[in-house]
Amino acid sequence: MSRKGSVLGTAMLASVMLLSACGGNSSGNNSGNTASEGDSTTPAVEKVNEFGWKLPQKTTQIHFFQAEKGNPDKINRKQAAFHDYLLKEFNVDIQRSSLDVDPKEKLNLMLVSGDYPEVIAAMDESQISQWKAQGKIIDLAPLVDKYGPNLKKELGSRYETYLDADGKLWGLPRGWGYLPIPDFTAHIRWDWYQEIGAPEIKTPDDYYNVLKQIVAKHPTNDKGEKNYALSWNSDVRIDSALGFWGLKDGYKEDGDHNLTHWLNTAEGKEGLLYYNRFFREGLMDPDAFINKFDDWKIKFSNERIAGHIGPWWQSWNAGHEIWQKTDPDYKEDKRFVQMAFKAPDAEKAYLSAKNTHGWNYTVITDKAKNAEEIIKFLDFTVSPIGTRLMGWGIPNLPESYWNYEGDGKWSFNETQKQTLLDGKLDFEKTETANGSNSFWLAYPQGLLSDDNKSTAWFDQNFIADEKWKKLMNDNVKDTIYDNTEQRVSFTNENPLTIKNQQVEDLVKTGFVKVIMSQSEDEASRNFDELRDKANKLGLKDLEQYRTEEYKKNLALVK
Amino acid sequence: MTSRSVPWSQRLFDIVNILVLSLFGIAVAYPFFNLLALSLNDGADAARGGIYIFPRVFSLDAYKLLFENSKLLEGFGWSALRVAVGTSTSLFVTGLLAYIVSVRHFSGRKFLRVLFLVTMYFNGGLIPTYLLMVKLGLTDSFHVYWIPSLISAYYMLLMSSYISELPEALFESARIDGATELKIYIRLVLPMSLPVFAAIFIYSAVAHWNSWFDVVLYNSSGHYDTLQVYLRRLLLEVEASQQIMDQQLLHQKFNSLSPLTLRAATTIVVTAPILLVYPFLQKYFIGGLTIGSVKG
Amino acid sequence: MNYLKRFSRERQLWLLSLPIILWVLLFAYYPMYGLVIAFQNYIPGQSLFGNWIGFDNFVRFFNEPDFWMIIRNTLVISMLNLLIGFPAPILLALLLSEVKSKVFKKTIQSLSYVPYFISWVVVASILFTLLGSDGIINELLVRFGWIDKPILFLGEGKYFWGILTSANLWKDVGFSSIIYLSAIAGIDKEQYEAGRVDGLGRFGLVWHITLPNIRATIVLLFILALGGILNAGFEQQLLLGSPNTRDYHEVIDTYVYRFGVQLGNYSYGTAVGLMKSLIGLTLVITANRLSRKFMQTSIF
Repeated sequence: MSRKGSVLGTAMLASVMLLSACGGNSSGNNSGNTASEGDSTTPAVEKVNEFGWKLPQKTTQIHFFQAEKGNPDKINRKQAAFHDYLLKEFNVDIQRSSLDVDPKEKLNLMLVSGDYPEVIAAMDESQISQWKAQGKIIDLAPLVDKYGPNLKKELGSRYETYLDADGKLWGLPRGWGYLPIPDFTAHIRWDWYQEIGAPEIKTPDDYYNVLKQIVAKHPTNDKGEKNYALSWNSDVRIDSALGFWGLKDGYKEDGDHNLTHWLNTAEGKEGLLYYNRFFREGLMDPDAFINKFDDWKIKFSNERIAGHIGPWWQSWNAGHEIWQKTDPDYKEDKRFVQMAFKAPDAEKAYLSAKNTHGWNYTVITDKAKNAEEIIKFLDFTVSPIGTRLMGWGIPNLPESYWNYEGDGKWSFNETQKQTLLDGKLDFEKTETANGSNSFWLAYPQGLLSDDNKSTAWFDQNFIADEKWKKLMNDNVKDTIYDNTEQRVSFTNENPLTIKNQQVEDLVKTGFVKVIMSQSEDEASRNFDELRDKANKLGLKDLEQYRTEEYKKNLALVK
Repeated sequence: MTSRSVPWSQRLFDIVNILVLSLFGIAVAYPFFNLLALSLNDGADAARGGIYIFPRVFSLDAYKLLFENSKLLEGFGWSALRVAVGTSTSLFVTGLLAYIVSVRHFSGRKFLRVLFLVTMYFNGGLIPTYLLMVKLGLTDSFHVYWIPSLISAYYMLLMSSYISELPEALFESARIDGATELKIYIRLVLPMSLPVFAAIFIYSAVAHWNSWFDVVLYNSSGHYDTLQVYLRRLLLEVEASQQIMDQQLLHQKFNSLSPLTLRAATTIVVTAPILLVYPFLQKYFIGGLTIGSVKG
Repeated sequence: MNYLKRFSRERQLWLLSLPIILWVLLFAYYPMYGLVIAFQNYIPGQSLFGNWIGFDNFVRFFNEPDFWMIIRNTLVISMLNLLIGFPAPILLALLLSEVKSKVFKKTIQSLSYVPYFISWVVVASILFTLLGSDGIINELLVRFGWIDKPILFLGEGKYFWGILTSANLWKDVGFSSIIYLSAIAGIDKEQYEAGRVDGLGRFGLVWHITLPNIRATIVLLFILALGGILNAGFEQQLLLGSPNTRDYHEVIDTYVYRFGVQLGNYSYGTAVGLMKSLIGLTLVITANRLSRKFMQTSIF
């Protein structure tokens, strides 16, 4: 018999042996979770810590699933130290888990299999309605009434907007509040702009002219590659990019709060034709709509772009944050600076839409054995000092963002602050040490109510001290606006959800075609064609629905 | 070498063949060398692009960072075990089935073929399958890596198409000699079908090696995370970050994002072991087999 | 009587099949109850026996405004894969088996399936670099004066099919050729000796001995490939496609994913999947019949 056959046979045999061997050790294998099991017996004496938190007799356990895609390894690494701190100082055993699978899918599997934790964070409205219908999550209103003084206080009149028609509260909002920091805007390469004498930019046409002058002066980078006046990448939201013409998140609002989609407005057409002009004159990066962030970053960091429209951090991440490291002669005004302008006819530019309602919700499921204790802790995290602790992490360490002396007295860690201002803060490292923002169950993203100044984001607390952020803020602060009431949710029961997706698909493809037209006539024709198609698909119904929801939400606030 | 003259057309063919295959080789190898160069380059520098075959600023940081994760080795262990157990069991059982459905006089032959063929086209979907695994206690266990993938209809068809070509008379005479069917399978069919077993071995091993979805789905506790799961995480981090709506958070995320070089290194780390193992299997389908020798 | 006799003769085979049959019933057939949601408006968590809506999900699919577009894209992409991607590994295997130098052969063979291990995320990023408006390809084309303005390969729909087919081919050809190499390796060497004695040249040997010997494998894989005609890829489209190319890259799977799973409508996705399966199986059965009739080969 052949030798080859016996080789194969041996391999199989070996693996069967391996298999039986693995049965033995698999159960003893340690998990990726960082928690050391909580000590459930604590001193019987009631203890209040320096944050004013009354330590529970029995360790409060909050092991929650956060319905966001995340890298579990990184999450565990980041939360370990903070977990131990909270267990020791608060007698709260809190642990977050996220997975790198589609969180929607995971939530559905949890729901059907009945295998879900006591607390789930980051659920959206349609998921809440699904879980509510199955009776798997509990009404939090009575608990908040009893144990949630801070929740009531901090949410204030907003609290009512989270209740359903029966006055029940199914989830606590995450990240509500108003953070007056720009997201989206126009950028310009600062040193080049200064070089041509920094002419004033008040309108889109000014921006166009300035960029055109810049590329005339810098037609290529030092490798001889073409320089483009304007770029964006595949993440760009045309709805935001039309804010320069006074549209709010892609919609025009009239005096009676009726909303009209940009396709049905003159402003929308003007805006698209404006961008088309860049394209047809060869001033726009032809890959603008294709490039994913990573590929775009290469072009950007190779100094081939003079102007950019998009989120502010993109130009930081792909610009001077790379140049600082790779350019030996780096000077600080080699960077992009954010600026705003508006079309002459627009009353105002609306660029950074802020939804103060919060991103999503944290729910407590019917598995919770001790919902009161959980709410008590969440209530603490909502208080200004609680938000600081959760947002900035462990205090009083060399790596800490802040120091806490007790009795509500606190200060920032000056060393870390300076490192941040110098642009040298290694977030990954410090966050592993202090665990900042690891457990975001319920707290505001906006300004804290006690000083109306600090925010849960450590790096967003020093706008006034940080030269370039201050410049950005001064330039574009008027373009930030509250669009909370414009929020709509397209749940899966809503018959318009599909229509909405269809129109979105059409518009996403269509607007690119308009901008990439070879002539103004063609662009105009493509625009009209797109508008007619969208209206035929049901854009008008969507406008009407959005208007109705908008008016409903406005009435809720009054 | 030989004094016999080889027709010029054949010689021309040899030259063209080598040329074509060389070009093909370059086309398939380039990206790998590109990734290798990237993985050996400094992270910040690589973000500026322009790296093709050689690193510009040499650095081993990406690999250091990768192997800093002590669980990576553990993951490698689970992957190797999964490949060993999953592939050998699947090969043995699927091969047995392939033999059974190749026995010409067996009345259940067509029934079994159709029974399995249907499974290639219909499945109950994610939710019922998940619930079944929960009910069988296969979640959070190593066994979910090999039991549900024990038999593949596709492999069965491929193997049986090979086995059917084997001389049936050989098996018939073994039967007359009193050999059991299992014995015929192990002693005759297996050794005579080595090339196809080797090919399916590669397909199955690679599938096991590359799979990650069932790992995160059924073993979400992380106790049995395989190598591919860790590496995929690094690879898809950008994509995951793009779902975040909050721009402040995004800035921090992208600041601490694993660099391009690390992602290149992950591809190298996943591919290298297979590249090293493959040559050992190649002999099974390079030389060719002489059935006569088995018969004898 | 006859049955009994037959059964006793086949007893061993049935005994060996029994656990295998149990396995397939449990792991493959039992979960199929989940297919009923194709006829419902199912919301995860609710009972599997409520909310029947009959064939509404199927009807909805045919009434999609983009129905013809996605059918066209699916079929064109599949056909291209079938036309080019199917014969390519056979050709590669044949070319490889004609190489005399063992080292060269082994090297090329090992390299040939490297692309299979490179995930689509990475492939996409490489393609964007090569095919970008200032990628190597455009640079060469401009330098040789074949074009005067860079072509937006990934930005214009009309190039998408070609790029996708090439990428699929590049990624899979080596890996798919393994099965043919194994089939070629299984050919009895005596046959070649006999062929040579009969005066067959190299092409003659390939034509009269190699190809007929691997015909069964080719036919089998072709029939199975026909059954997968409605699977035109998924990840590739999501990663290589952009809004610009949607009219060319959207296929059944990507469409259903977005309108089904992502919008929380599982029933819709299941209904379309069921339909695809039925069509696939029908094609396989038909092809199998034809093959049995005209080529005397069948897979069941």
